[in-house]
Amino acid sequence: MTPTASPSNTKPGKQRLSTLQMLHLMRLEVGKALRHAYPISCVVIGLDGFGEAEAGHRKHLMPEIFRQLKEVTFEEKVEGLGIFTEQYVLATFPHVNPDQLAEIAKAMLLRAGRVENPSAFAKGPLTLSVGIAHNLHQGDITFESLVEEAETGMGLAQAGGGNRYIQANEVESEIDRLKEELDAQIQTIAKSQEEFFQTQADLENDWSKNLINLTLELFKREPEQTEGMLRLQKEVIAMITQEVKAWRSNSNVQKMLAGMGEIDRLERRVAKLTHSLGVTEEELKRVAAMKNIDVGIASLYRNVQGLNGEDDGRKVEMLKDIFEANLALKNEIASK
Amino acid sequence: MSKSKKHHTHTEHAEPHSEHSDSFDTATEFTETPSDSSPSATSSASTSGATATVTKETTTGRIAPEKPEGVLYLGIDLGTSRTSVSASNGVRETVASFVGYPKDVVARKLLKTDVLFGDDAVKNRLALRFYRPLEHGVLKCSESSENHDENLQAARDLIAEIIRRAKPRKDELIYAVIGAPAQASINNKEAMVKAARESVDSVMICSEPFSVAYGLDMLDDVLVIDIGAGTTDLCRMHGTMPEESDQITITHAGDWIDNRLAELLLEAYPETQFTIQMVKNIKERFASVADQMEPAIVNLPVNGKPTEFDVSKQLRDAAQGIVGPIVEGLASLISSFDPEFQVRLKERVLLAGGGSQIRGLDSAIEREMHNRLGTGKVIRIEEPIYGGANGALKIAHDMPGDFWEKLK
Repeated sequence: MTPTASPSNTKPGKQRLSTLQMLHLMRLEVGKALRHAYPISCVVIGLDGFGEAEAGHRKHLMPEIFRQLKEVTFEEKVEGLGIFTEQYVLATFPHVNPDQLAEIAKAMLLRAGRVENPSAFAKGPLTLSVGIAHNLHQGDITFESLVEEAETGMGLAQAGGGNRYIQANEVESEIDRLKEELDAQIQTIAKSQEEFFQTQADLENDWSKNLINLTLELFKREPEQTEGMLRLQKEVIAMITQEVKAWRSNSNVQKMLAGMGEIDRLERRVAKLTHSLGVTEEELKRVAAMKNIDVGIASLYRNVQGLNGEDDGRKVEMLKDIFEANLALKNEIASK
Repeated sequence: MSKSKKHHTHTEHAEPHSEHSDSFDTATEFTETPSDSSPSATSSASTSGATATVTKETTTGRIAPEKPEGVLYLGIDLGTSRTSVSASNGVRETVASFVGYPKDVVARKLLKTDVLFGDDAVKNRLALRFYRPLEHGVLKCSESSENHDENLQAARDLIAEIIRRAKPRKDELIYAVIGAPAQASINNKEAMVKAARESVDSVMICSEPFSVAYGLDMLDDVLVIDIGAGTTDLCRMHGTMPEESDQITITHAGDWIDNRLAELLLEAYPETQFTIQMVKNIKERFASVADQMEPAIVNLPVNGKPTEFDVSKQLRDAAQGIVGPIVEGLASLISSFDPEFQVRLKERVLLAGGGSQIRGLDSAIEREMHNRLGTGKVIRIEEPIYGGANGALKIAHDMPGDFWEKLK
């Protein structure tokens, strides 16, 4: 692999080619691969666990990661072009198919542990996230799209906890498949939940009706249906109905249904507050940025301009000519 | 109107000066101005709001116009090689006239910007869509020309950048005078106005050599040589606005020297490898037409290996190549002038523009003038890079306020 340097330390004469020159060559190589339809792969390698606060450490480690990649490509007997920036290592490998590239990515994941971790915050060995992409799939492919795919892969690998590689062209289809699967599962759970609560509610309803029917049956067994008995029957039924109603309103199912309604309301409120927070944060950023606005330098001539009568008139005449020529120009532009 | 000493008229001018003077409706207002008041004083009643003008009593007891507050005046020299600005807030800036846009997302991330200008653009040009929006001193604005829209956008961005570098306050109006080559076409002037319009509140175009002379207050019997990258403008000043016949534009300028030097280097050292940018750098470092010049020893690659070459002779020959055509142009302007004032004209030749930095050029032109015209005195202006911009700023500042208002 042809070495290069980061843009900040590119010094003519010390390296064979600068980062931007290498980037140009990579772009040409991808263009050539697309024209002549041979495989070309792209890899983007980022460090896990280095936030913006540790950008300095990350920048310091990139040359070493790049050196490890060179060794791996040497071992794998592949050739390519690569650069490293403050964020990641980027390389392209012509005539390298996705399987070979996966081997390179695996080798890099193993080698990450060999690099000394200078960060005071991150403990344990370093890990990498690797995004890979290639041109052996459908769709419009350019150098830019290849790099974007690989970057997406690296981002997903980092989001997934790092120390892994993701093949970029499979990422989107995998995400779509997972999304569909998740949607189906959510729908099934929602349906089951609805059915469960409905069943519980129906059961409670049936049980209440049954209790009243059984009570009525008990009163019917009495041979003498006196007025006093009928009044007692009504009072007992009214009491049972009231008790059942009170019990049902305090039952777990009803509490669950009420809780779900409350959760729904709270979720909507949270969404609204999140939106409001986003707007406030944007506004805060704008106001904070205003502190750094270059207000510029005021004109020194705030109260003087133009020739006055003290001039001999020649300059006034010349300025008039310039103005007239420009007015004609303005009219001509306006008439078009 | 001022006197004219042109040999072919020998009379005071009665005809309009400008080629566009037949449709100047508002000029009537100006000519009706009472003789004892300035144009800007007459405008004080017609302006209002943020730019309202007021009057004040001067130390001489006369009522002089007071200019609108909150206006930044700019003089811009939009050149093929460099674009310079002089501003009324004291800022002076110059940038090489190159514009570059990152080719893709990766380049944008590396460069951390959407557009680069000047030397930054040249340095990173491999990663950029790279534009030099001016050619032969004017914008590449022909509809049929390649990358017309892109060049126009690059010109807009270049003007916006040079104005940004002038550090205007957000609350100030910007009134700019832009120098154009003496014989720029109407299409080119239009293109300049359109390109500038997005960044300024009012704009005027003015002949570059005239700006140089105006800036130095040398408006009578002066010959101006303004050597740019794309063109060399020759202009005869005789107390009035120069007309078309007072100005000559030739292409023997900075770019011509670069191309000629490249040819001479290839002839002398066919094994060397170089780009026109490298040749330009050599010229800017060593160019001289002096008899005794510093040896121009440069490193040029031969089969990839840096090798030393003495290019002094080639450099002198290439630079000397513009002297003849310039003096030929001067001769043409002098010979058509009133014979009584020809000697005075020859004694007052101003040398300006980036090309005037070639060492010994003033003496070389003087020698050639002695040979062809009998006599000649060439004065090199002190600030070749800012001469045009300084003059344009002075014009902008002297221009009456109501004129600016009418061109908004």
